[in-house]
Amino acid sequence: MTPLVLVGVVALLACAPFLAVPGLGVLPDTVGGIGSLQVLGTAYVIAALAITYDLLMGYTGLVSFGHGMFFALGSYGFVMLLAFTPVGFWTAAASAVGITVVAAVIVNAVALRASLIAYSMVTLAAAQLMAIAIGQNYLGSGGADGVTIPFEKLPAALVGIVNTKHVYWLALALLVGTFALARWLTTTRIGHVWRAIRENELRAEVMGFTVYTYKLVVALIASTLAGVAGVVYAILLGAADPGETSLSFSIGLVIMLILGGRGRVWGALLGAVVYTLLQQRLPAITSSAGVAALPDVVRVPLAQPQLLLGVVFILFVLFLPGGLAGVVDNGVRAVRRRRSGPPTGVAADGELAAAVSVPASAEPTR
Amino acid sequence: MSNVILMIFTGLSVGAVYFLLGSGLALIFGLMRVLTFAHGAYLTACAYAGWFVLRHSSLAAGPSVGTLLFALLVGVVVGGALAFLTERVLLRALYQRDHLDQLLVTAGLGFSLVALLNGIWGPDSRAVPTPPWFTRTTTEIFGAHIARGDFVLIGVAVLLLIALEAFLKHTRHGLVVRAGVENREMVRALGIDVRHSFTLIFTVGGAVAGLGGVLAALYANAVNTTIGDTYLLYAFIVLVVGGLGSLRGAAIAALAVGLLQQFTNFYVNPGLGEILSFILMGAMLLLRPEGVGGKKIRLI
Amino acid sequence: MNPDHDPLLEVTDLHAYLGDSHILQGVRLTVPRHRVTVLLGRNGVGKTTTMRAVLGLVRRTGRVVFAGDEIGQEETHDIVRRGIGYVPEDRDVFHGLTVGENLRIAERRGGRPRYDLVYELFPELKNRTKHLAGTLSGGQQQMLSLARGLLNDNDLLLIDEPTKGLAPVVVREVVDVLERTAGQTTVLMVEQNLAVARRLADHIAVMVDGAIVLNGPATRLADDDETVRAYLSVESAISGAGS
Repeated sequence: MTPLVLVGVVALLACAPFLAVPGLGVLPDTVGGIGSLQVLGTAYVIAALAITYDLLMGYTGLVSFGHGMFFALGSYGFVMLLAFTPVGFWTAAASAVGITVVAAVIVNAVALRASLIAYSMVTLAAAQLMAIAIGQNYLGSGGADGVTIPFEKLPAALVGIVNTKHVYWLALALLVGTFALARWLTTTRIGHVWRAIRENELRAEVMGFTVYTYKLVVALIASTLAGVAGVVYAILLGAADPGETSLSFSIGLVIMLILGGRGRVWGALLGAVVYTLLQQRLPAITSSAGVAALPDVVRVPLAQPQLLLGVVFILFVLFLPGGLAGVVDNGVRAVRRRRSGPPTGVAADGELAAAVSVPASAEPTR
Repeated sequence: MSNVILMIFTGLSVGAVYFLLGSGLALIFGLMRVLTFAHGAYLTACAYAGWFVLRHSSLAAGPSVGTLLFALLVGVVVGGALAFLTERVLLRALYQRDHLDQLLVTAGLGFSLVALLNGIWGPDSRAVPTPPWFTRTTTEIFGAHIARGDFVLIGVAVLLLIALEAFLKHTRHGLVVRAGVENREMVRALGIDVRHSFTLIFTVGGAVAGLGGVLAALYANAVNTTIGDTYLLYAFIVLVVGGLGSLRGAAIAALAVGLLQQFTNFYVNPGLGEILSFILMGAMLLLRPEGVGGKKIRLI
Repeated sequence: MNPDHDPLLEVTDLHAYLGDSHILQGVRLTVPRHRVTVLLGRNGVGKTTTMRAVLGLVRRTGRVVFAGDEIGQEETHDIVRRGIGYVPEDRDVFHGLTVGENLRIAERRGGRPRYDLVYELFPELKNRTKHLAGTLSGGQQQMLSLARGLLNDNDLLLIDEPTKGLAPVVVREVVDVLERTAGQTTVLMVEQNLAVARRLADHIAVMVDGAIVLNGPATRLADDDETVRAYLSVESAISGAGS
């Protein structure tokens, strides 16, 4: 996609609050409606979070089961500082991100000492610590109810239904910023080293890269950005939600990446948007009269977005490990080939990987 | 004093369920190098299966011993069948691929299975009728009143440990599993289709998780869709602390985590026991990744 | 019939990969029946990988014909059950299993395990059936590994560096056993010790950088001494010191 097209897409999305186009059931009302903006805003924030997770898992091969923790730290840090201390909006937001960074340094400096599977387990353990602490209402974190933002401490422009479009723009800005940063990072040298680590850690080490440092850097970047996304999410939701620390929230992130295509910034974005829209809208759509009349065998799975997502996820792991981005890539490549005859010698990353993995598919599979 | 005794018994009972799930995970990881997330969902599914069998019994009188045994049997069969199908249908297709993909499929399956249960029975807890002798009849030990259910759970866990050890030690399948934990490739090079052992161990893990599910439901007098996730997390701790692939290590770890949790939650602060358990897991991963039972990767 | 025209194992255009490295690059190799073929080459040229590729233990493509059947697509356990024994480089006995269990696990369904033969060849093992294999000495572990390969009446034995890291006395013992078995079965062996290779080899194959450059009767080892030495400079130095 050329930069010009991207700018156009962003401009179009920025105009969404003024569009009275019907939402066609994908969105709760017209595109510019309050409910729709809320759903879209959520999708943008989750997409930004998924992009940060892609840097970790998709690009560097670090499978964290605790990424939701840093998102939650941003949310809870921000909301709790506002609710329980006299600090103002900006101080609370900056401190929340600061807290996330400190936690990220501690958790990752320790967890990255361990082997890959152990990294997953240590991050899982760390996220559970936070889930338990919140569940037990430590520091007034509210247990299962979460903590509500004291709205009087938010800037007036972000409060109230009339101002939903401002919050929407905030979420869009977060997504655009995260997207741009991730795109840029992954094309720089550091991004190439991350990919080298994912492909073969030992070789990256032999090539003279201090793998630990590169891993720590990617983990810190991803965690910090997740914290920022957490702050925006709290503003959007008006609260900090304990669900963010659960194991299924972090597994949800994995599902988004697989759906969209891991190791692709816009793959993560796509997966997260599809995931969030399905999760937010499926129950509403299926509770409509037409579906309610269906027999249980059909209705129950339809009304459970998690079930549908889980099953689609399994099918993707089995049959489409490249995700939606892989499908689009193949389509684009096929069209180009038809247009310009045999492919030229320009090999993209994916093609190189495909060339290497040819023998794997030649092996007997039973 | 009576509190200490009570804490010991409740700790052991909780540890028993951790062991039921954790022992399966330890064997599966040891042999297949797959970290399975699906077994937590099997536990939940079987807890519901047990409830389904027991639900018509009166809450006051509770089910008869026969019904109770039938519920346990159903749990074992459902758990085993789910795991068997998972291994044959989903995992088999992925053995040529990265271990991560195998982990992802089990996670996706667990996610879907819990969503399905939520769709059918909803997120609210359901009461599980339990015979009075299970929860209400107590035996006095040094002044503490211990429920029969505690003895049942502990007894089942001990029997399971003995049975699994006997299986590993005295059968050819067990021999292959022990050898496979140590060096899977050499087992194949001796002309053994190690996938048969994968199916067997994955299924046994599911059956044991199913047993654990029904027992956990009985013990709590209730089921809901989140119990599997909770137990799964503790089974991970057991797996890590006990040593990947070590049965005795898993038993020791399950005991330790159960006791640690009950004592600190009761005497210090609710929630602290769970937090300490996860800190223990993190510390083990970093300081002694082979676990307490892992002399390298020996199984027994 | 000339055995060279009906080889037991015939490998053509074998490629193998470890991770994303292309280790074997079109290996071509014939192993004649009832002979000992020794695979020679410097460290890292792909000798072990060749054996593992024949067994299907690494990702591979190409033609592998064993006793007239194409096995290049088959899975390891099926290949092995056709009658191939494998004695790997690092012995790979199961340390946590007893000596008896290590042998028992090698028994094949429907086969007739030759415990008499194995215990006659390695009397030391008979007295230690209840011992954990991990407590055995290196030489004893090598004997156990060989015993595991000889327990079944295999048509082909793949033996990877049987004398590596063993004391001279033990080397002699192992070589004696190899010499006895060589008469009864076909052997493909990797051996870095040139003195041992000379004593046992009927045929040789020399590997350089993932391909076979020389495959023929072992007499070439003597005739073509200079050539072989050029390929094997490192090993000849070792054997010079050892013999």
